[in-house]
Amino acid sequence: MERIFKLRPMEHLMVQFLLLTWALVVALPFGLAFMNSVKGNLGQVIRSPFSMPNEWHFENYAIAWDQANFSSYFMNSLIISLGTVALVVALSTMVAFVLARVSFRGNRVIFILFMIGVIIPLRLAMAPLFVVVQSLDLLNSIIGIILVQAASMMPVAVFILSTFFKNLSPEIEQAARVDGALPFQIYWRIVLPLVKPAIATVALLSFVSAWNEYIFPLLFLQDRDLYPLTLGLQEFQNEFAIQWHMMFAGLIIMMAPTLIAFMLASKAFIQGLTQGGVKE
Amino acid sequence: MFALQSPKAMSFRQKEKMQYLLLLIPGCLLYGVFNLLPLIGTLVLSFYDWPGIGPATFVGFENFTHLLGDEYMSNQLWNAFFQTVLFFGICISLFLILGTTFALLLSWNTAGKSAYKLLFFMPYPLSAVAVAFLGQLIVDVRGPLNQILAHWDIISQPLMFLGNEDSALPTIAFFQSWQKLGFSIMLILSAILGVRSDLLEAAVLDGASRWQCIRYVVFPVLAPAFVLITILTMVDVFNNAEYVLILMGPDAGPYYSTDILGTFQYRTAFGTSGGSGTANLGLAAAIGMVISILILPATIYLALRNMRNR
Amino acid sequence: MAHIVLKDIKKNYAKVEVLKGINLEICDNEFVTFVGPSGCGKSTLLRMISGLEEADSGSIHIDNEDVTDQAPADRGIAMVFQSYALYPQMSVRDNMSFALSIAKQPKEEILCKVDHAAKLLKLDALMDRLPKELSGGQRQRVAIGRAIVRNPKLFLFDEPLSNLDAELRVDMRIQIAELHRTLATSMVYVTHDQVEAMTLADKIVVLRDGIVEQVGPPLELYYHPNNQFVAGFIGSPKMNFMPVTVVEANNQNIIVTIDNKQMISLARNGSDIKAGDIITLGIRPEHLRIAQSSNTQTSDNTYSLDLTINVAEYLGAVSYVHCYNSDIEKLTIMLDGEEALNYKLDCGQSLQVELKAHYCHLFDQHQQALK
Repeated sequence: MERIFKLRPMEHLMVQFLLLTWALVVALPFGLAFMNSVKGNLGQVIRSPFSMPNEWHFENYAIAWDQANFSSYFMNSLIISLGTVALVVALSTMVAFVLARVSFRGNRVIFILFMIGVIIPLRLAMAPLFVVVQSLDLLNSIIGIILVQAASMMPVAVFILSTFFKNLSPEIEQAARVDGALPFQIYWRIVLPLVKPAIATVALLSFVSAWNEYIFPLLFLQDRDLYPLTLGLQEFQNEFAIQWHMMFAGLIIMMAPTLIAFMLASKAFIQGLTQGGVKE
Repeated sequence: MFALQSPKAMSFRQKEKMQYLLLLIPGCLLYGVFNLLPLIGTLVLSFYDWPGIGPATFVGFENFTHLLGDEYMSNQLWNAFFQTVLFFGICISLFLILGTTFALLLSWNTAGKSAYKLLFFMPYPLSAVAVAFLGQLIVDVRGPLNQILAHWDIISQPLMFLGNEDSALPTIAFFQSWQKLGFSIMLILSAILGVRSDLLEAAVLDGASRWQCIRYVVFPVLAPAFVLITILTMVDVFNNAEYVLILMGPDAGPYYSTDILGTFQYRTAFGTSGGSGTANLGLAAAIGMVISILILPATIYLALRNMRNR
Repeated sequence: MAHIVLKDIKKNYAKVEVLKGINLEICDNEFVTFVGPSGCGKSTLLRMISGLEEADSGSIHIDNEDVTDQAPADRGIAMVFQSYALYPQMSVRDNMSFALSIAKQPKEEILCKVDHAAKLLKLDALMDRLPKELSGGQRQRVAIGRAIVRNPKLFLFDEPLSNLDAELRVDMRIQIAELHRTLATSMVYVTHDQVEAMTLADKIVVLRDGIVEQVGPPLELYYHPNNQFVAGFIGSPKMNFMPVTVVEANNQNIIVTIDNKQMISLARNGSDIKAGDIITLGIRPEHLRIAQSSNTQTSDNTYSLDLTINVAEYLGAVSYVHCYNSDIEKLTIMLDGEEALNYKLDCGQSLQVELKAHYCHLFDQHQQALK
């Protein structure tokens, strides 16, 4: 396309104009959020949201962090997300390994059962899920949330990983078997190092998904101490609804990790999310 | 299969089998209990009446007939349904039209392509909560958007985007589109870039102008991408109601104007925020079943597609 | 050193019978090659011996022990794969030490054994490299080294040289032959290349469609093939086959004719065929000569054929002349390179070719050899 369609200067301008327009629409919220988050008080925000702040009140962030409990929200989000990622990576690699490499009766069936999870999102089953969690006495617990979120990500993770595993040459595993290796050893020493890219994708997807999760914490957590950022922000709104600059600060805190991760690994991000999104 | 022996005495083959089993079981257990079981449970539960505490009574298809027959319920159902369709319509139009436009613009020798791509995709990894609140602050009556519009004399009075029955749903739909457009752009872009260059070259040699090339060579290739985006958006909109829940709560105000199928289900399951209305998990499950059936063709398509990739 | 017996091995893959009842014996220190066309089951059979696949029925014994149910690791075998199957993330040294570290042998012992094998295969300089930094031949040697280190009873090779280019193949072939001499261990080698089979093997097993067509030392298969398939498979260039009609047959002698004019008499047992049957005559290109004189029949068992030349190929050391006539579709003659220069071998030219009855092979309607 590129070779053939070079743009004439006039068209170039048009194209840039259109792109810049949308770029503005995309960037403006971020920009506004940041600029207004460092303003001194609400009045400044309302009066002139588009102007630069006179003084930069970075202490807004500190206030949000300490007084508004954002530190605990943040930590909860972190614990939940990291816990989810760890669980998903560990379990999905193990399952995908066996499903992709070992032929046994019921292999196909189990795979299809996982596929069902890919297609039908867990959200549809909120009611029975609630029942399950309740009956296991896991309501209002971080562990419960981690388990639920991990379970909701297993299907996609298993799918991505088993595709990867299937592409590995079977001979390497056979060589390991002839060398006397048991499945655990093959898994740990041979196969895992070979699927690092797929693990990275799964970890990224799981982290983003877990960090942004709203419904599950909403359903299952009652203690404010356990709230992740997604719920915490709502609490925050109840307290600081009028104080927009604080709201913006809180939002920035919440968006920061995923945005930073995105900046650092944008290619991987885009690839991973579109892949995962396509699978879903 | 396993004789009761001490592990040392187990043959290699037996050890092998056991280890494979140990590798398989934890993941299957997690998924089975917390994901698969609830899914099956939805099917089963839809035939019961259950307020959440106390016994569940089997009611057969009553939930469904109640849903469709009882005026109170069916009004909500159809309202939610039509609004879901509206929501979907707004999103998909933006995705397809703007998505294709921007994808096309990015497929040429445009300056700053990579930067634009990065920027356009940036909202995607944000949480729905962040986007919802951000959006809310911006469209607030005293917020930046109203201020610009007033400043440029487009409106005389600030608009209550989220407070107005007629504009609330489209506004929320726009929030979701704002976040998810990047995905469509990337998908369409990769389809465009995937067009075989020799086809294009042949067209150019045949004397086709740029727009003719686009119309006749590129657009046909975009059809699969469009289908995929449509299906994914449909599944997303019909199943997930996060934005509405966050901004409007389960009641989906004002006056149910933002009620979509997802909020309807949530409300039926867990009651409204005001505490009024009783929870009926069985009925909610039935709604879940209805939603599943509505998007069944879409889910089957996705399933087949993924199976083929296996 | 290992004595291997396969009894009646059968294997099915999705309703296709891949191995139809294989019986084989491999003696101590023997180098046995499995050859055959693609899909004949040779790789499958190898994997049965290794334990990577299980037979549907039948048994495998190594040194008089029934190993049919044993896992590969317990059978004391080592295998070299077609794609080398080196662990990509490990260095050469780690690749070779892997099996021993699984077996939890002490570090010094492992180092010692690995170094020994490395010296044997001249891998000393490469020990710290990763597989992707090695050439094909080097990777192959590492794969062999990995197998040697385990000191197995039996080596299994699964088409190890197919991924190498021709020149390297010759070198590696020689190295493998040397290895066999040095290590004095039984080796089973699968290949589709009959040259490798002929040069390396003490005993060749020819397989086709899941059954053993013939077993024996290379030259026995060359001079006394049991059926048309083996005759055509062994020997390069391929044996010439032509249809002939039986004129007369008894249990001592068969008389056939190619063109209904010249009679060829062969001392074979023809008790199962009768006059009028159409059977096949085979003769190797290297056993045909260009007629020296214009006599049509010089002696009792030398016959002369009139042919027209299609193409002559000059390779320097040898030359191939491809001819035909109205009864024979294609006949290839192999000539000594220098000798070929003495003749005028242009397309369309007539040629008289001599064939000695002694070198002829006869195959009945079921492609079985008549001896």
